[in-house]
Amino acid sequence: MLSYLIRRTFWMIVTLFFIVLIAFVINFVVPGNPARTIAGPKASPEVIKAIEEKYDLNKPVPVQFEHYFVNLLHGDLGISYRTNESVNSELRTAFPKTMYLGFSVFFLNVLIGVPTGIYAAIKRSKFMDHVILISSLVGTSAPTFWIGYILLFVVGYKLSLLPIGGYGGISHVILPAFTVSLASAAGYVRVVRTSMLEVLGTDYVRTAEAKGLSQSTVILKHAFRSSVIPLITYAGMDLGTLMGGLIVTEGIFGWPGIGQMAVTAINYQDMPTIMGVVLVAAVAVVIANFVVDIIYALVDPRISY
Amino acid sequence: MAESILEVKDLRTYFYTEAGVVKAVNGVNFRLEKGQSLGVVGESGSGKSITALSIMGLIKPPGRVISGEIRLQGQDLLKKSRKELEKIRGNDIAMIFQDPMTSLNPVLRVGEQIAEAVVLHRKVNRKEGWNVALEMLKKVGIPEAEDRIRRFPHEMSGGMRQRVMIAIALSCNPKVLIADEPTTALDVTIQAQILDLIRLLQKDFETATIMITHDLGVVAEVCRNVMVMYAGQPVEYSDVTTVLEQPKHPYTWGLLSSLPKLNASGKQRLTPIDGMPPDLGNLPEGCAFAPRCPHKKPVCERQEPSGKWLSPGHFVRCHLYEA
Repeated sequence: MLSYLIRRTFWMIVTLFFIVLIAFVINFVVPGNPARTIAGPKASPEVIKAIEEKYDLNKPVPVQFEHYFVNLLHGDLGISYRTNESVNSELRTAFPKTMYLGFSVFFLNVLIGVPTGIYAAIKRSKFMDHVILISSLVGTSAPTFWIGYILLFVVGYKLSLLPIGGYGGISHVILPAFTVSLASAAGYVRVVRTSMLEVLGTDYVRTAEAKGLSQSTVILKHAFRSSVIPLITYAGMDLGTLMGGLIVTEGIFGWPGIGQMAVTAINYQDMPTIMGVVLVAAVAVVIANFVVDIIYALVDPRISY
Repeated sequence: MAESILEVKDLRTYFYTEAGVVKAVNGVNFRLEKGQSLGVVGESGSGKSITALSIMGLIKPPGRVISGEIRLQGQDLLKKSRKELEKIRGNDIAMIFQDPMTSLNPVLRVGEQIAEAVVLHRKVNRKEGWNVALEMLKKVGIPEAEDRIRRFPHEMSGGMRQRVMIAIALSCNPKVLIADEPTTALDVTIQAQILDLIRLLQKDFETATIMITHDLGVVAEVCRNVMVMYAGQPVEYSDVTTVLEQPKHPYTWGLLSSLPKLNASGKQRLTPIDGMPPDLGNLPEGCAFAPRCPHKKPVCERQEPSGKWLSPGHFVRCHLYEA
């Protein structure tokens, strides 16, 4: 187990290094001059030159990368071109808000998706199974911005039940979380349904039934427990993605998370901020994958490292 | 006559598939007395396992028990609610399945898999359930039971797992034990051990046993009575000596002559039964065995034999004996 953890950590670091490298290089592939964007359209060449000087923009890309990377190793993500504030402190403000929304979505996904998936599997090919499958298809296909605006208009504006946007407590998070979850819970439904159907046909579920266990014990204790591996994989990927920010939803509801931060940064070619968001998102995905692998070994005794 | 524990009358289980109605069990009758052991023999698809699952109440759609009676100590199980059946399953009737490699839950400790049945039916707490589980593991001959009880199925061999299955089945001291090909998936040496164990425990627990198998050798070793099934129906029923030494039905003859004999001289060839088992969704008119029967008469293809008791305790369903 220990050697596995060490190996795993090593590869996590390698992965992150390449993500940083690729993201950094991409910044130089896109056309446009960040210095001009910072200085504004009417700035004189001298000003632009001064800005290039200040941010090292006139140096070759490998040198710039070296600078960036050394700072990164010291935990310094640089200064935003746009706001002149440190990217670290901007992320410290925005990322907890993304986590708050992300975990709310994740919670709803599990709460809605898992029981619905189990139920659909039990009712296989019956009426309710079809209803669930069709609504999950509709849920996945409906664009987030559309669901978001409908919810905002009906629940927030017409019925005035919930705030129409902005960051805040539970009442503020409900609408954006539901907006995302209506689509993404559908994925959970399908994953759980498929893996449950597979397990419900196994010999050991029949053994459990032959013991006289009640249907709920057979389903939850015997079938669900041994069918959770695909669910854990899916949930891990989902959580990792959610931590990278929800660009559309944060935009609709004016949620000041790293998704919005990314959009603004990209518009201004604010490279240090873009890099910071990419890095946070990448770390989230890598850690989620790592945690998933550990959980595998905890829930399935056949898996050991 | 001794007290009858289980009585099955005219049991019919059909599967309503898109291709038509499959008559998997088509009129099965038998009686099982206290502590008695009955072998059910037949080829694959003869309805043995479906008969067992019907008794357990584990037939799933598109299958359905369409008629008959399954009386456990006089009470018809087919008239019971799901809740009532749950109290009987695993408690009064227990079952051992064919493949021990897939019949145990991979993510639960074997102790838990035995104990949960005990906790459920005996209304004891978890700790007592585990105590019974430990006792059962020792009874089925698992060495170092104190250690093995905390293991997962994948840490055990096939033979060990089948012992665990037997421990689960017998943990609540059932009146009837149904063993569906319990040794088919095991090595020959392990097969003998498991059969010995079943025979021993059957005496110990005074459990009436239904042994489903396609192996007449197993029947000869474990059972007192034999029911030979073909196409969802019993074609011959008698005590084991009669069936093995004076079989009357042509299908039983066929089964016996397709067995290898150790004392046979030289390279005597086995005699297989010609043809294939019939399509249960499209049974021939008349006797289901007629198309493969070397002794068929014109009547066999026109009319179904109704069956006849040649002597008390020896039933045969064949036109050769009907007059």
